[in-house]
Amino acid sequence: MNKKKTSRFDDLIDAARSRQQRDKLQPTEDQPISQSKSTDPAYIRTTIYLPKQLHRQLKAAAISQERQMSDIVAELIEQWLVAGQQSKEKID
Amino acid sequence: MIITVAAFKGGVGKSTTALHLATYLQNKADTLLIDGDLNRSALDWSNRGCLPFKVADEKDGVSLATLYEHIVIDTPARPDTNELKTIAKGCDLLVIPTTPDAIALAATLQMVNLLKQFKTNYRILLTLIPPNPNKAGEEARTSLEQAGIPIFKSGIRRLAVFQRAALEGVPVNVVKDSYAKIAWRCYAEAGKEILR
Repeated sequence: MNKKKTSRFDDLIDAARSRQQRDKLQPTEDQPISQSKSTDPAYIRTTIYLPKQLHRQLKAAAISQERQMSDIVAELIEQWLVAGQQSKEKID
Repeated sequence: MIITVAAFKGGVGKSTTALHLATYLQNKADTLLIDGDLNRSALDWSNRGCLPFKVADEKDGVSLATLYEHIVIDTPARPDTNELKTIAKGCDLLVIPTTPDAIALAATLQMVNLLKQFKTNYRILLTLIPPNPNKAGEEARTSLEQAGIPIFKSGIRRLAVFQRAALEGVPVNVVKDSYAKIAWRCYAEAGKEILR
């Protein structure tokens, strides 16, 4: 027996501690690489109302293209804003 | 998490506390109860009936410890200084049950003084609190709080249903008794405080 071991609980505590050390290593390994929009301060969550059928179509299209609905909607809104700006310039 | 239950005085509900905290923790993750008490009260308890978690002595515990998420260690009454040192340094939380009477409180304060040199995370749990109108529980709590000693918000009431549980070899929450729920809630609240 190890000289340092002085009580009958030493081996038990060592065994339990080694288990805890093993647990601690794991979370550092699988930290998420990309931040999700829900935790990214550059994004804001909002609610919009869509006709049920349109929402279904959007969802189906997003899945088939493997894109997020958020990204598609953001892209469309950007286009719409740019188009609005251009038509305004034409009138001026 | 490694939780140790220790007290300098016997008969303060040490094994009962270890057993019921293990019962609570088992609901969250696999829990191992180490019966380090040479009376082997917890092993007796589990041999008499059935307990919802694994019980082992400190020797068998060595190989088992790596398999369990939570480990609750029941210690002998009046652990020697080396044992106390190992346990105090090695565990995440040391639970010190004490009854609200002068003799037990004196023993508890003695233990607290000894623990100061080990930088232990410890908390006092008041046990066997007599029912109203007896104020012993409240008085003990007030004096411990005034002394700046960490103490569980939850206290364990003195209820006969704990004796029945021991006799049947089960945790108090499976005893068929109108007080079983009340008794169990005492420990469930303490368990919640541990995991918070």
